[in-house]
Amino acid sequence: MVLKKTLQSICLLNVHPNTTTSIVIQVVNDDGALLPCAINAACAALVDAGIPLKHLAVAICCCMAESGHILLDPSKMEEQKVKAFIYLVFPNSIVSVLPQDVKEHGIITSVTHGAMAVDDYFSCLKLGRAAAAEMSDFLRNSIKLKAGNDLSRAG
Amino acid sequence: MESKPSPSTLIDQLVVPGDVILDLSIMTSQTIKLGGGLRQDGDTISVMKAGTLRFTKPNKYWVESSNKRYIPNAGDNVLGVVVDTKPENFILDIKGPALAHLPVLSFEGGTRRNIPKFEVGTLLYVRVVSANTGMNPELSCMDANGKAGEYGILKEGYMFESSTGLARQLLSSPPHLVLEALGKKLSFEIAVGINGRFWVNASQSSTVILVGNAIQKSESLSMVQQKIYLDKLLKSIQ
Repeated sequence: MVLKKTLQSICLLNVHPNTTTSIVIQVVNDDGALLPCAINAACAALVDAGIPLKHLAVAICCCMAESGHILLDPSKMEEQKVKAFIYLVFPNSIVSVLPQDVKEHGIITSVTHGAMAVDDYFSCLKLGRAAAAEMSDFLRNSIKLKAGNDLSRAG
Repeated sequence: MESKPSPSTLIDQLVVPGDVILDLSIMTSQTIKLGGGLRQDGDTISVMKAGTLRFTKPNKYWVESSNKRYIPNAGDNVLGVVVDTKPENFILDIKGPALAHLPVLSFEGGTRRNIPKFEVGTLLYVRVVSANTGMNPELSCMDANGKAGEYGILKEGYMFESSTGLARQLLSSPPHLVLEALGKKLSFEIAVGINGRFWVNASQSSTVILVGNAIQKSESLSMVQQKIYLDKLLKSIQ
């Protein structure tokens, strides 16, 4: 349900009325942070297929360890041991001709498991946003690599 | 006197969905034409599809991308396969989200008396007349002046699938490296549809297979790799 709502919020569904966009996600291996992984994969697939999107979705997982430290991208073992973890989905960082604007601070989805203090949640958010910016760059570079292959043979 | 708008700084660069390419609030009374992959979001123009931003004077912007799926646009030449016949139209599959209609009279010199009989599975080279969202695209086997031109049934040969990017490259001039190299040694006929399909015909089926595979393979190779591949291929068929 969360997955569907997240992906629905980034797709521009009114560009192709009377059609269905069908996304099939197959779990090959689960080593923790399954939902963020699925969202990242689905987003990459949507971009590759040329489905019109508002922006990209970048998903990460943060957890609060016993010691009070915040860990990013826990493995399955780590996820089971910690007292709380959050999945966060942010819009990608965009290249814009405007001076940078509100979108920088948007958030698409937040799913929490376990209990944590409000301050801890906000520090997870901050950390998560920084991580998402890195992932956003990675996504952009991967898209460039694939598009670059096509461009290098332009007639 | 309004100064001409300076083109966006992102032209000919990779853009991903969400990127803002134009700020409309600083350009007043200019007309801008938006092609595929772009949308107006309040006072800005932002990107819907990942690809390269292109611009032609005076005011056309669009995003060029290569996908497996085709979105019909008016004026495109495509390869369609007949899936059904109705009294008024032929129904064709052109690899888009909706099936397209080809009116039975849109052939040169077409009248009610000489309606062509196409069976299910016939391959046709057609022109997209109109493609509005939500409606089935309309096709025609005549060009804008009413002449048949190259449109119509493609007999024999074989149809291959490709991405839309490869189809555009095959149709561009100067001719694509693969077509030039193969054309020097082999003789074959080819029809390329911008919807990601191309048809090849030759006197021998081995030539058809060779050409089709070479073109499909060339998409994933760089220029240098293509030259090497083609040299090896043409040497081996001597």
